[in-house]
Amino acid sequence: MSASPAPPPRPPLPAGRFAIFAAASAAILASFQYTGFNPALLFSAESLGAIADFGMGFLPPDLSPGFLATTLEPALETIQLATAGMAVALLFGIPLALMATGTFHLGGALFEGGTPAGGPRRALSAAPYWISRLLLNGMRSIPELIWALLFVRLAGLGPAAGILGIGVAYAGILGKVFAEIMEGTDIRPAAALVAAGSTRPRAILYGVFPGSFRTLLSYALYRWECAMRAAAILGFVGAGGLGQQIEISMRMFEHQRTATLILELFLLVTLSDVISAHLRRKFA
Amino acid sequence: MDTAFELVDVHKRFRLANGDWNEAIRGVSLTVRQGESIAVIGPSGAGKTTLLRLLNLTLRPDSGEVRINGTDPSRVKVRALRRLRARTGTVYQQHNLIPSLRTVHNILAGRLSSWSILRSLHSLISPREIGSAAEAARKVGVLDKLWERTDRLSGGEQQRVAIARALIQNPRHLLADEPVASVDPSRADALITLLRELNESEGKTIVVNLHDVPIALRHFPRILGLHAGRVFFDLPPGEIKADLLMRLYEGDEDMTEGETRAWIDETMKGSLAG
Repeated sequence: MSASPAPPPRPPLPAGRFAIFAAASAAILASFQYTGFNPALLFSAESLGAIADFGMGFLPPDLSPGFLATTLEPALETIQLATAGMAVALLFGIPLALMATGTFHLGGALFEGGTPAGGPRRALSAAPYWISRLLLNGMRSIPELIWALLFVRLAGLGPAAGILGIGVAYAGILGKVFAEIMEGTDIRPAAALVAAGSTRPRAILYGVFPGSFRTLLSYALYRWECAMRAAAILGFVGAGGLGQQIEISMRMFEHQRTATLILELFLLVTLSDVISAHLRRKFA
Repeated sequence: MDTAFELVDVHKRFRLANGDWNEAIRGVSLTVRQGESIAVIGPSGAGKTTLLRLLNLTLRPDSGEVRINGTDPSRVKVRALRRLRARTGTVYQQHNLIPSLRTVHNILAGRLSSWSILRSLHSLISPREIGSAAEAARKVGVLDKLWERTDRLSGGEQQRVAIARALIQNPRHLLADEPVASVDPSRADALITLLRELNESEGKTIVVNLHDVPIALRHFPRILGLHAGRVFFDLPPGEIKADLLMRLYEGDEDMTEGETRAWIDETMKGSLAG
């Protein structure tokens, strides 16, 4: 038996990988330094006492039937806010995602062998991509809270501002993430359909959508759960729902009621988690 | 007789990752009549797949001319190009089916070129034209898999679904890139026989890339040997001798010279016996 040959030498790590890791670590440390956050502070006897005092104020939660009854409508309103907000987000997010998917617009397998596209024509076919990317970035860079404040000016206090706030901000997020999910889906089945004479939209409908549907659905459901939390925050600026009640009870130092409301919020998030898990299994 | 494909001095090159050019097709001229059936053989890297993609119009030649039934695809508008593409069905080595869809939808995807977007969407929810999908599935022998998810099918069954998808497109020409590469040897003959039957009974032109030379020689009346992007020979199987094959596969990166000679000898014995 001959000795096994020496394995070929391991190729060096790509240059710059270590530098990126070091830079990221430095950035994280610098962030703590800059904000003056000192974890030790949390665990000093003094602050632990203060935390305990504050925490005890929330106990026990106010579970009197009279109070619970008054929270029912705000809880429903939060669900409605989140759900309607997601509907608006999907309405705008899906078309924007289709425009922002590079493999649908920027050449590659779906375009191979197409009619010769001169300069201007090529640029025109890429236009939806760049326009939608810009739009999405704009929608995303403004948080839903700020959007809601803007819409409060337009639509007045109430759920409409909250729905539009969540709708616009989440359309920005869904558009980007959906586009990236579809970009990550194998494009060859769609390319085969284009090669057989199908138009691009039909090829995408059959070749890309079914393969990415589960991931898209799963992400949309996760965002619905996020919308539930966002809806609560939006209550703080007058968009109604549990958030508004939390804000009022905190302002009144009714911490036991605050505790009840936060518990209800926890239940809503858990509920959406259960529903989304069920739906995901259903479409598995 | 009608001309299905006509290539005149076609060249096609690709940019490699390192910036060099790889000239995959170097001056190929070829005429394929309607209803003919051809096997394309040659070592890996000879340009077989590139040739197929020039025929199904997913690649345009750098120079030279490609004509489909007399039409030059580079001179037509988008809509006409799609109609031209719909005339040719392609079966890919990797199948390129949609794994998460049921067989019936994958077969019906061959109808997309003649369906509107609304009808396509409707069919995705509730399959249209199930009858013709079933007919295509029956022809290729996957009728019992019609309602299975495609990714649950074996490699050979998926290959058959891919053929059914091409059939339901009702193409004049059928191209196949290594259709038996992912099929176990005992089923390979049956699959090629199926393609040849479609050719004989329905008059479809078929061009098939094959790694498996014995199968090519057994089933096809015309063999095109491709070497380094050029037509090395274009002969009926009876005129292909061992030394010709030896020169065709000379320098194949996948095999040593001894291995090449061994399988060629084996092939020749087989075809003499047959």
